[in-house]
Amino acid sequence: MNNKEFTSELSQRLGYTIRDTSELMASLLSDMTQQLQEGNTITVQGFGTFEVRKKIERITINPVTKLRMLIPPKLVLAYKPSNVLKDKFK
Amino acid sequence: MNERLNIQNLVRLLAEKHDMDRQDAESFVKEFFQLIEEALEADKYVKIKGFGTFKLINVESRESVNINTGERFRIQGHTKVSFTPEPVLKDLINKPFSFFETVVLNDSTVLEDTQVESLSEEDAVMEELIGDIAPETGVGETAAKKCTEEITVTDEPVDVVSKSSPVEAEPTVVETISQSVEPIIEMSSEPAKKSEELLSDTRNSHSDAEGASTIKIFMGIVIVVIALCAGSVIFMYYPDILNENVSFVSDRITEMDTTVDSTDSLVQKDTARVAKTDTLSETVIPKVATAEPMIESKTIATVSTESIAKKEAPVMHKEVKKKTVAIPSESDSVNYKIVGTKATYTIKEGETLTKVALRFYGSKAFWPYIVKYNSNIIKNPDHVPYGTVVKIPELVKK
Repeated sequence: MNNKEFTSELSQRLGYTIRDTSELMASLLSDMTQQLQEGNTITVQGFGTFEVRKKIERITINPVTKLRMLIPPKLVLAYKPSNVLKDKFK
Repeated sequence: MNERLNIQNLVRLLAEKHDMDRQDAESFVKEFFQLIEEALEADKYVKIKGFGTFKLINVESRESVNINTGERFRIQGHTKVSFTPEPVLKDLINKPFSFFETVVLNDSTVLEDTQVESLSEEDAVMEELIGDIAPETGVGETAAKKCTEEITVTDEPVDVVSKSSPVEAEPTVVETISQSVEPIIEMSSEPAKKSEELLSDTRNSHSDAEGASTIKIFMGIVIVVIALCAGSVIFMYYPDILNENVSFVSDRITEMDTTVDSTDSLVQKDTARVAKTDTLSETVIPKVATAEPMIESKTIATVSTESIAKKEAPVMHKEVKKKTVAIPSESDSVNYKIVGTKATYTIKEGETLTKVALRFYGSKAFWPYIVKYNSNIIKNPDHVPYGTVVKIPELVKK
């Protein structure tokens, strides 16, 4: 299901216009993004948690070129499904 | 930072932004996630613009070894929910670290904290396979590379915090895509990954804790050292903080008008000396005595004494040679005239002439008069034995 389908389905369920729902969706996502940028964790009951994790830097060797590369540390967004969801799909 | 948010927080933010009712916002957010769940069930794939892609990934059952017991067991085939953020989102989240780039290392020292991961040839093979086959948008080439980097085929443990589910998802992607990959690799990667996780967790937390605590300890030590130095300097230059007779000192300074060579070095020499008993020569007394016998550990010159000392360089020289006691604060023996006995006093244990002077005159600086008046009794002003009876002279300003 791509974005369009998702938005239309959501608008149908809620009774809003597609434009409204997409607007609401966008603001919801931007709020979430903002919180994640600040380093906070978002837990949605029954769905899962979105967390920002730090990956430390490491040295790897490119097997093709045989060069030693230093990969810098980075922050990544991690999603962990809740147990309910996991069980549902098992 | 490090706050835990839940649906209610999101609802509140949304309601505020759009000026809608709490209930409406709540039902929107709940419906949103509910729909993702249902769509995922139906289509196994949900893409949300500006966010990322949720996918259901089927994992085949595989053999594995229980780390603790060492027994082989079978991980059943199951379905995982994976989420891959969009590149835009990834960059936004990585903003604090955005200026980093991966660089080529040229023979840098091996004393790096990070262990070197070597990608073996099997990995290279896997990389190729993945590169060829990767059809999904989520698992792009970057994901594949990340996947290979994070799965170490070697038995060496690696400093990779590989807890995140995308990482877990990726090896499974590898497994599903490249079924020709030897089961051995998968097997070794799974336990290796698990031990990695444990090791890296402990190592990370340990090194983090270590790092944080060593820095804190170091800072603490630095601060303590600085405080001690500052304290001793203040102590040296302001012994009268204890006396609270600084006004007296300023009087002394104004009276001085002879100029003298700078005796900074002298002053420092004196200040550096620890209080020791020493004989005071009588020649010291007529001039402004710039040294005080100190049995206590007050051995420091005031700023005023510096100036006094500067003005009395010739005397200072003599004094310096004779004495090992540091320059004291003001001590007077010139401006007042002895006109008789004020009282007699028995020196108590642990008492010094300065204390006696303080007691009778309200200022430690008048001890030279006591010495002069009792010159027959007091042989060594630095060391007046307990029980000595001294006459306290009556002083009148000249």
